[in-house]
Amino acid sequence: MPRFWLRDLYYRRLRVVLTVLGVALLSMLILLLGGIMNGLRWQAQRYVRFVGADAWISKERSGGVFVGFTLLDPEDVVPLVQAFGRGVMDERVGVSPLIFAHARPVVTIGGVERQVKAVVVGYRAGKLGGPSHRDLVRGRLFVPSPEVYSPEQRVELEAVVDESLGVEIGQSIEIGGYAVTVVGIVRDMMFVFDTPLIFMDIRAAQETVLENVLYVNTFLVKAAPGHTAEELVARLNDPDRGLRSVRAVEVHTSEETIETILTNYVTEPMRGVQFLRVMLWLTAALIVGMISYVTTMEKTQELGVMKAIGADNRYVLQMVLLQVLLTSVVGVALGVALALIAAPAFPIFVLVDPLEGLTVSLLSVLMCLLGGSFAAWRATRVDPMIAFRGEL
Amino acid sequence: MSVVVEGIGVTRYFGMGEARVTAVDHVDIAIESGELVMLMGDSGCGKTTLISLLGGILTPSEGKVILDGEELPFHRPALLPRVRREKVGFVFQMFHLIPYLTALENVMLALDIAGVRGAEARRRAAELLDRVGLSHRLHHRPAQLSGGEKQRVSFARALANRPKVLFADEPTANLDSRQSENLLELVRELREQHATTIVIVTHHESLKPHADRILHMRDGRIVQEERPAENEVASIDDPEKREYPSLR
Repeated sequence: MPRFWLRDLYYRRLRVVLTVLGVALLSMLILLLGGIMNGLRWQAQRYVRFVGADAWISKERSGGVFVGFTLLDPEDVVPLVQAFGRGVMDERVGVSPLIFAHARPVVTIGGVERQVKAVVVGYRAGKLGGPSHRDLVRGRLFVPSPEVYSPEQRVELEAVVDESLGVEIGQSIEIGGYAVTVVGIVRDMMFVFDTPLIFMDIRAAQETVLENVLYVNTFLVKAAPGHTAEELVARLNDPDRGLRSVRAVEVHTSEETIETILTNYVTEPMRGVQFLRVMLWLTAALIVGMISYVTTMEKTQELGVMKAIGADNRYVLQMVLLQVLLTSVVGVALGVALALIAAPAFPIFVLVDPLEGLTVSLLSVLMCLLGGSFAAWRATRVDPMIAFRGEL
Repeated sequence: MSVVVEGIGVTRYFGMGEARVTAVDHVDIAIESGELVMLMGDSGCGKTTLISLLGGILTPSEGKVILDGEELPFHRPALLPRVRREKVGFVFQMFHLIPYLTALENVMLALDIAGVRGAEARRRAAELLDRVGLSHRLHHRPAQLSGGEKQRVSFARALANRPKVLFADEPTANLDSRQSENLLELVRELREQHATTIVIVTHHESLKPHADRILHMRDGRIVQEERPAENEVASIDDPEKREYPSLR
């Protein structure tokens, strides 16, 4: 059985192809923009989730280690954390000191020296905060510094880096004027905006990025078995009987820490991107609406003849909306395919989520239908008397 | 014979105020089942408007239309398409075939609109095209057909849903005399085969012998009625006009 609305689309195929391409391009952009935000969200959570700490202790009102500046003295804070956390913190893991500092190391790639962005993560081997042997893609962990140390002690300046930094084992990178040797490579260890992480011993990090000051940025603690992260944080945060009653610190769960990172690095900066996505949706609706409207206006006599020979508004409406639906679905499907192809080639990390892709697709089709519905409505207003005039 | 379509005091104005034009002016008309009626008159005298009103395409400003015993629901326009697809067939001066559909599909379109689809629609459409002598042109598009062939497809489309009345607006206007003669021959055959009532708007005097009745219009009114077979002519102003059941 010939589907007349399909034949009509085929008859106007050049216009249909151009509309489909327009919708596909816009859908691809909408999905890629969403993918950029997803990528940022993923990167924002990646390190915190990897670390697996239950409580993040930082200087009060600093905003935390990821968004503000916090310096704490281990000799002062660690015994207090152990004392106030007794019973609810995991004593076997203890208190893990951590340095998390944005840096601009100089690396040599392909014989060319250049300054890149990175985050230096200083942690103590065996504690929370960085990779263990089993997380390495290749190479080894850095040589750990002694448990008890002093500023005068010599520190091995070695690092385990994310492979996205582009350097190989044995290569030297310069951080804060110090030459650091790469000894191990890890994968997918990045902070937001594709910033690779460089893991070093806590002492090496102090020397290179804190000018050898024996402070750290934050402390990580795990809850004891049978206790939740919330209980641990509540205990340490208690302003009367907790750590906060004696030191100006704030303690957050991993979820709160992630929320802070997302708010600062993703949600707020990405508002403009979200706005752009909405504009792209409106543009898609406008394109489909405009082209459908022009096409409807162009075939008023055909529609008039159909109405004169008995087509009711439902028939006409269905015909136009089916055409809009097919054009939009094909356009959006093509857009999804293009987005999936383009995502890996994108210069920044793009994570196209299938569920979001489906939602975006449905929403895009809905927007296109909305755009086309005006043309469909206009088609129902065609006067069948037009059949008595002019040529088709 | 019974009356199949009847217009009572049918009037249609266009425009408003001083610009108002009366296209059809209080016309009373009754057409009997199986009749072939021709509407003649100068351009702009209201012939096309009158068949649009009788066929339920145009809503009268005054008066009413009764088609197949049912008063057309002009006050409920949503119901008019059903009347048009079930009881009326239209043939247009410019054929108005859908350019991207073949002859067969153009006829099937009318069936599709009426809800007849698939093999049944294909069979009926092919049969109709066969009857109008186009069985060899089923899969040709309008651009590949001659004027006469297009008009035959147009007739087949109009007859697709077995209408009670077929209205044809200047069906021979774009045909040469031979094509016109062939078309009228076809109309006569179709009328015999389908027992369809046919109303033709035409300028062509040469077609008059084919009609049962010719109604002459002037300034939106029917002013004269002819019955070629009986060689009778009656003016609408003639006191004896009531002898014709069609004019009241």
